Amino acid sequence: MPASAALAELKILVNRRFGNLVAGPADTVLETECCSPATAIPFGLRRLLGPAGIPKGRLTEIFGLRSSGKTALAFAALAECTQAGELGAYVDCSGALYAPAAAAAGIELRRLVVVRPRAAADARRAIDALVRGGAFTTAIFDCADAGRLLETHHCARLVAQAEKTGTTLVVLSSGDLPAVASFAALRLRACGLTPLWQSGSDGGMRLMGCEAAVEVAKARTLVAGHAHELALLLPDIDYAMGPSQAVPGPAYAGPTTQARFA
Amino acid sequence: MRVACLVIPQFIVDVCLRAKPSLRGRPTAVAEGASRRTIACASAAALGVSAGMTPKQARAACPGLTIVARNELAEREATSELLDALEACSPIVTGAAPGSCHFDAAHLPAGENAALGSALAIAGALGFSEAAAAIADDKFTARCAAVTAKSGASVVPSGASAAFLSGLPAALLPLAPGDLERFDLLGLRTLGHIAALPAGPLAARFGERARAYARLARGEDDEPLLPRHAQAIHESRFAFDGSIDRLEALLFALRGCVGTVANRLAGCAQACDRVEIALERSQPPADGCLSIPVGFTEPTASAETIFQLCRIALESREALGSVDAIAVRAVPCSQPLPQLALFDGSRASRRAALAATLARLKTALQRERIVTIQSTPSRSRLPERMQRSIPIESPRDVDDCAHEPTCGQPVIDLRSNHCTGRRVELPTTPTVKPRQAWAPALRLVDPPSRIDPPAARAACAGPFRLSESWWERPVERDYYQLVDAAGAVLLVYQDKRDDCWYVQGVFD
Repeated sequence: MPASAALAELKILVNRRFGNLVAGPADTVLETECCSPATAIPFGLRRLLGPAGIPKGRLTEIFGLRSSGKTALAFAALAECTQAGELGAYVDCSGALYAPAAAAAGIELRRLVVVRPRAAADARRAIDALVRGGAFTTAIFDCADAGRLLETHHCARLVAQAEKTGTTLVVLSSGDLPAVASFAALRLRACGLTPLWQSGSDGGMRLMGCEAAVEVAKARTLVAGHAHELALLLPDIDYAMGPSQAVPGPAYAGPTTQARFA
Repeated sequence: MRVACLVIPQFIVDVCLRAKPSLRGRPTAVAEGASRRTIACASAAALGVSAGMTPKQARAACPGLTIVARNELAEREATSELLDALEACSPIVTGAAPGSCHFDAAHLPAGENAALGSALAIAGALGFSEAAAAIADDKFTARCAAVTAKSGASVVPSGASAAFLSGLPAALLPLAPGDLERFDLLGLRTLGHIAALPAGPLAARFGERARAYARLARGEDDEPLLPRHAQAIHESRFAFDGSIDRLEALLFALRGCVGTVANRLAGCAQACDRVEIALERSQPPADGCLSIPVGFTEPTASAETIFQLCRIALESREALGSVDAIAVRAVPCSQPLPQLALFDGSRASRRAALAATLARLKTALQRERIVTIQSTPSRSRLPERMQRSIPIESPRDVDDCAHEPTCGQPVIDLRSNHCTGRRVELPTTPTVKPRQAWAPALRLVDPPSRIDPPAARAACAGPFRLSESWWERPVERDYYQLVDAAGAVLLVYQDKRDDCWYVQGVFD
């Protein structure tokens, strides 16, 4: 088979598998890897993830400890989906989704459906309905603080449904879901946040943002172990109590007496 | 054409008073909205209370006021009852809005005044304390005459509609939002002012709807009276030989009932947006009839769709007990059937998929658990009040703008990119607006969890003092962004009222 024909066939296969990722003449296929279009996902992270990015129709797990940056990654995936005019869904098991933060991350909130289940069974029903319906391009299942919600048979069903409908299923966890880890086509470890402080003119400090590190823990098309660092900056309109929102008060010097806080 | 109109100004309150007669004579108001936050109507005894007030404002205006929730189901039943009764006056009766009915008054054997008297007597007999009726040449004029009369009967002579309407306020027109203010700015305060203007320039300034305004103001409402059709409820029932307590058998019977109901709907070219499953039980402790309403997001007549949603509704119930018979009832809705999706992946089929997904979610979960969220930073400076959840009622709530890339922002065409030194063809996928930075996500801890005071040497920014709501629930907090012992970046605050520390959110 000539090289050009093989390359064209490869292009068709990649497009079928990853959803029109590669277009144009066949001899430009390899170039797209380093120059994909600007999206809501940081460029460095896109380079880390390769041309497939967060794979469509597959289960992706983003895991990490508390305050590790996993929610910011999920928000980036949702922002990319909603900014492209598609619908996103978020199953918020712990009620932690915060609208101002989501809006600041670039998510079009009018294209986001949020489900806040009360019980574990409701959460599983919700994500099952969202994935099998096929109406949502990206569905986030946030069970980071909700314990072991997904077992092997749940994951098998979800993966089958996601593959059928082409839904990008992202599970946020603390890394304690072995079934999810086993079924995930891509696992990203959020390694932690490093706060970026800035000194203010009044001598106090201000949180400018954080630096997050992401590592590929498992991937079917990539080499695991590669990591990337990205800066996350608080927006100008501060939803998290920056100086633009509140009036600075006297500096905190720690507890003055033990009795005061007893 | 002669048209009669019966208007019941306090219809919403009267419906509630029919259900609770003990409230008669006492100041009463009806609240509506998702959380009953708006007064829809108030009784005559509720002095100072008007529609649009909040319950708190209403109680401040009228101490001793009783506020009841609006019952739309009872309103529909009362309207249906009223229309049935008015058919004794005229063969053509139609309901326009809650508390407003029209009927044909041409060639009545007993005369117009007698027909109005009968209509008022019927309203009084049905428990509507105050009603007004009028006859005119068209529906709009008759309604205006009844609304302005407030009570009793009035007749606008034939051919005198324009003269009668000329002195009435322009607010009686069914105006689009903002039009009344624009009319007022131009000095057009009565229907006569609007009727006197030529329709062309009026339409040029206000849009095509202004032609309809002018026509109504001249007494030329040509909307016909359409006869009312009785609404048939499609029902199918299956009785078991004995009591059954297995879900499989119940679903088998359910499929048959749903199939029958769906066939009847399809045969009438109708669709329904909700069905009711009635489980008849005779054995204690769960004897009686259990009614399970199942709502659909979009009207449908598909047996499979209805069955699947009913199945989810039954499966999500913990214990159904022993069932002797099952019945499925479907009330046809007025909305037409949605168009078929011709091409897979089209907007219509995506919307159908969204409707099916939302229907599944609503059947399995509580309705208020499926929401869209809004960021409302202007509402409050407190983090927990800076967002709002809105339950999704229809797929239109979320997909109106779907499949269109974000607009209003500059879009960069990235099909040519020179970062590698030579031209590279890039995919023609939809371009999105470029982002300059990525923000850390704040996970809200709601309610805030109490923590020990942080150590003095902990890296932190703050305090940022917030004082709010001093007039109702005072809030006084000192906020800090700090790193705890485990390395997590937190948003914490010290409540100045109890000197305790709380975690408000976690940066993640």
